[in-house]
Amino acid sequence: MRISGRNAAAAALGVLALTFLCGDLSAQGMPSFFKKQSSNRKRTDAPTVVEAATMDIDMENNIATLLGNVVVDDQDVKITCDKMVIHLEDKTEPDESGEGAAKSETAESGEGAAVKNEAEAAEKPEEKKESAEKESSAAKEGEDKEEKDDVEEDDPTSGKQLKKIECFGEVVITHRADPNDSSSKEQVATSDYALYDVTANTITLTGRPVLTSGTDRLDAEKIVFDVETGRTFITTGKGTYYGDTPVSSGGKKKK
Amino acid sequence: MERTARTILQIIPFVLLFAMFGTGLRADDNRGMRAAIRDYIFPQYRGHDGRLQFIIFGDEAMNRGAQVFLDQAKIDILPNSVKRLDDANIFLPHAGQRVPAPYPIMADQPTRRAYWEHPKQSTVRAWIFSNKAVYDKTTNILKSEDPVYFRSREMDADGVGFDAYHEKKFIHIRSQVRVCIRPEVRRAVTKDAGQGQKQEK
Repeated sequence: MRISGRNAAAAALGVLALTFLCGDLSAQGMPSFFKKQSSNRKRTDAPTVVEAATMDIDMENNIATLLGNVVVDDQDVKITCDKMVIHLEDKTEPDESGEGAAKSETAESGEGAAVKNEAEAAEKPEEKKESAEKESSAAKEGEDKEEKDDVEEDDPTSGKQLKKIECFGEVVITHRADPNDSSSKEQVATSDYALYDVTANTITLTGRPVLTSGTDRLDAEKIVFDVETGRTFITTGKGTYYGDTPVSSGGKKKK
Repeated sequence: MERTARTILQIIPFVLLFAMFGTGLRADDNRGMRAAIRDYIFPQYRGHDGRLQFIIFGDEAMNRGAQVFLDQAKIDILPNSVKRLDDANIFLPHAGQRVPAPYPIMADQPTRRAYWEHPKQSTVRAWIFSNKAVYDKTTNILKSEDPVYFRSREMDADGVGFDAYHEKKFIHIRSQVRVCIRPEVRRAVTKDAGQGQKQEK
């Protein structure tokens, strides 16, 4: 079944709201896919295990690249792809607002954040200008940081933190059905590219993203999930739709 | 006559030096000088600015031509703050300290924390260990076909075979890679979480 136009929004958000990819990788160092993070959810110290054919570790640029038959096999979620790139950065303490360095790096947060910002600005026009100024400032700070990193001395004991994770080629994200819930189904998202941007706290699927759950199927051009707010933005050929994940009767059409 | 003999004697050392080093050694050349040392430490410096990048430790190193065969090779990958050997807290094999065995990839958090909080690790960003490795002097690449263990504060990896290039602090693990990403790399998104991390330290 191919869904398009206004009906797509209702159908898509319904599907998303009810079922899609509620896997909790947050306990394993990655965010929940398509599920709002719950503050009550207990995090464990279990690590995330990834298998691949080969691996490149670029210590100077804080990048680890896994190549060939990449598999992240977790209790709830399984992710497979051809290539996974893990970007780390120096650990930063969160500021008073609790957002740490996230704001200063939004310039690098990719298309996902751009779509999210665009949709939010449309919702609150008075904040649009302020948001644009913030982005411009963030971009400048981002550039300054890049220049600084080259000469800055790193403290090995301060550790690193995740910046973003990219998946390339034949990306398949499978959320297993809950064995304790007979009504739950296995849900699958496929795309050519997936980006988990830790700074922006968004997950973006591009490159023919398809969401399926049982017999339901959604094709889109881009799907962005805001992990923090639980909002999902779906871009189709007809426009961008957004809505809170925990709704069952569709979202709002943006344009 | 005497003058000619003196000149010849002066030339001989240069001829010998040329014979040893100037013959264009190749990576697979088993000729040339052979020497073995035990409890070795090989610091590896970056070419253009002389910054210390790796320190290679181990039990025995055997030089054969352009290659150095290493036993129990442990490579400390250093942060940018360590520029010279004097800046690094290194263990001293010749003082009876052995190359530390890698902790298991799925080691629990207390084990890993105890390891990385040890003062000896304060100037180490990560390390790789392999039972056998070969350093190629012509390419400056350290390589191995044996099982390899990569350990750092954020991420551990096991695999088989590796190539390490100190100029760029770049490591390639050749096959059968298994990576363990630690929960500590999660960003502290809330103030409380940040304080929690601080207290843990």
